[in-house]
Amino acid sequence: MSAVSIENLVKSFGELVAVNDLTLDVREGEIYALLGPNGAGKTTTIKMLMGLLDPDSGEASVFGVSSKDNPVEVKNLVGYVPEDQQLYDSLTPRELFDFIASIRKLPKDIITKRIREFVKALDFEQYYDNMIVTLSQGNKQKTMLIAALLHRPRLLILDEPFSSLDVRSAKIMKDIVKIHAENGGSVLLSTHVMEVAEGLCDRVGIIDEGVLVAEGTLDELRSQSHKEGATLEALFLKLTEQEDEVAEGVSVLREALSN
Amino acid sequence: MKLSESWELAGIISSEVRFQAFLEANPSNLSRVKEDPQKISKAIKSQSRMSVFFTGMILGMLAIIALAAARFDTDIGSPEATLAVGFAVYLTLSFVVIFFLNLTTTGGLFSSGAMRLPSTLPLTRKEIEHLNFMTFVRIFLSPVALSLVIFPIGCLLLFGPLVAVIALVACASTVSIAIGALIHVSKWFHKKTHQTDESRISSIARIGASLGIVIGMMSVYGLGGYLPDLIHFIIDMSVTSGSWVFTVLALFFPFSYGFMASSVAFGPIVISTYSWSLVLASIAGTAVYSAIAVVLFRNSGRSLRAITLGGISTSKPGLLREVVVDTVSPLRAMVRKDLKLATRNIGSAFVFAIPIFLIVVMFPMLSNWHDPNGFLRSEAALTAVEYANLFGGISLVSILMFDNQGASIHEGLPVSSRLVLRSKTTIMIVPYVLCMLALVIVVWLCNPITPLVLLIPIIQLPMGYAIGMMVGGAVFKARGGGRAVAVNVASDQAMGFFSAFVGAIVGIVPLVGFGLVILVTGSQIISLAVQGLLVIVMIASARMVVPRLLKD
Repeated sequence: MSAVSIENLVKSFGELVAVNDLTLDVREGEIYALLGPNGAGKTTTIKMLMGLLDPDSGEASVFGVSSKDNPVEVKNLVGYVPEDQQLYDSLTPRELFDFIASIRKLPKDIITKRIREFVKALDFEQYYDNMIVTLSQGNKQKTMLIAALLHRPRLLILDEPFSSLDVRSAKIMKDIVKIHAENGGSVLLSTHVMEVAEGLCDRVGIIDEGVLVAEGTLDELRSQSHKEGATLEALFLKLTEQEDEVAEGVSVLREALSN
Repeated sequence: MKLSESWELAGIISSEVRFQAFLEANPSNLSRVKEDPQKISKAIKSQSRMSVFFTGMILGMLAIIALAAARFDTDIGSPEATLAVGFAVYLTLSFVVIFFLNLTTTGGLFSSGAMRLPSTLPLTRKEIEHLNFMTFVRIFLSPVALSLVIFPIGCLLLFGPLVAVIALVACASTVSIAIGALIHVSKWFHKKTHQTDESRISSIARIGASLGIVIGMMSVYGLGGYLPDLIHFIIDMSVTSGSWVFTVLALFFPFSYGFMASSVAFGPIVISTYSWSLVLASIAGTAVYSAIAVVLFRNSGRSLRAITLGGISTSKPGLLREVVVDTVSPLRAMVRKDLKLATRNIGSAFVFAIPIFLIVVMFPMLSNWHDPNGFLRSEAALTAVEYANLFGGISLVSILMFDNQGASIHEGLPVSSRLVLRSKTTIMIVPYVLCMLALVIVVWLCNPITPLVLLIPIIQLPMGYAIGMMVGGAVFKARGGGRAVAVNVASDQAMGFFSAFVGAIVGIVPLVGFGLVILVTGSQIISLAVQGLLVIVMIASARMVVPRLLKD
């Protein structure tokens, strides 16, 4: 059974078709990166997968559970870190984790032990009783990541998860993602950081204007675009037809900065 | 930097301060800002205009009542006593108005970090401090200008230029003292609301302060009604206790200014009626308080500079606490989370002040609503309960505002819309029950025709559940297609009215039943029984209908 199954998914907002007949699968135990320029439809796809948005047509499911028909069960299976992190600013991480553990009905002893390990590994003890509003962006992101991992989800969905983390924490979190996959868990990752996708993910799906333009391992993408030995960044720009735009933009900026 | 340039730049910074104050005022604003920034921007402008309008209206009204009483109302007391006391009472109430109406904006000064960007630009420290001062002036310009203009002009027209000059000095001193108090209280409150509980006592202090501030803000709008009574009370006190009361009062702010004005306007009468000691006390008091106002003004400037440039430290020393997770049932967890959020935000604390607000509205109405024999009849109690139903609808939608803050957490958690609604309804039941109990007391104080009238609000108590569930279900259907959504009443007034309407419609059913039965039978007992029966019917209806409106 696939961890994620998306079939012919379509979502429009007025005239704009945000997701256009998208089909993809994330296998069990796999780390899958969803890449795409801003506004490509990545977040809309993830929101439909989480049952937060209803698709116009098509199906999305997590371990066979329909996102549309049973979103609460989907959320039981998933640990989700959205791109825009709106936490409860007036709570402390302690109060937030109490809340999440209660909602997820997690056993007190086991969850206490698990959180202690996370807090120690991420060097988070000193922030544990501070209001979230006073935390740095990186510490807020750590809070969100711990919250997503608390219940040992079968699937992790991470929308730009490493952007604000310091080097130590980013390394730890990447290792956590790998360990999660090694233990049979699956990961769907949306990221703009090519090095993350290149170093961490088993397969990559490139989405542009709501359409999946390419999918496969790095080697498969290289052969699809006829660019042997190319980096993922070069492949991404080629497949999303942005190479010329980028070159032109850099040229204009060079002129502006040199005058 | 030229004055015009710093004035213009200060305009940009003060807009940021207002913007941050708006976000701070309610958790829901934080997430709405990304959703619809133009709407937020419009709301801030309209709120700012309304604030100026209300400050002007309230100060104008207080000035007119105080001066009219002093000049034309001979029943209260002698003109010199009325002027002195009216003057002082006006100053006290204008202090309250300036303090409470500007509390949230002042909070924005601390959280905005508004001076962070200018401090990175090639400006000298002196220029930054000047810019900071101009920002402060722009924020408080309207209330300060209104305070300095309205009352002195009134005094000029009614008592001549000398009294007007004293009024100007008195208003300026009051403004300075109010702003000093405002900065210190805002600083304290900001610190308290950004620190977590270390003890139950600090938590209770914070809740008490939140409620006190909300009640203070609401009571500002009713100040005009208290003014003549206050003047009466103070003058009566001097009549019963002797004129020495005035001499003692003249030593205290703001009475010193009042007696100083009265001495100038009615010099010989004051000396002959009272004594030289009264005049001397007022002169000494005026000199002392004017000096204190100048010192406070300077200190406020320094305090403000330190805060806006350096921020307020909300960190707390202490040992790290052990990591232990405290789990409860999902419903209790939702309620516990919401209560923590509510008590750390002035805007959210409004929900729990609703019963007090209801009493403020209902008590004057019910105390004047008697039959020819002086008894309060059932129809008055039914009307009061219907008001509480309407307030119940508003309470529920106000509680829905809490959730805007943690959208990311909610999106990932397996929480059904029904669980969300049950938790909000559980919280809403608390102010609803308090409203009904408050009405029992108000009705009891207003001489009911029979003690059975007291049972009307008591039988209505369980309707808190039906109103909460129905209003929440209707709001979720209207705004989220059945999914649990957060609503910001400040920028979505339509939902505020809608919730009040649904609350009133759902809550009126048992009351209509009571009314019809009492018209037909004239029996209180049968009517109360029908009311109780209809309460049960409405609860059952809520349990059947609401799940159909919801969607996960």
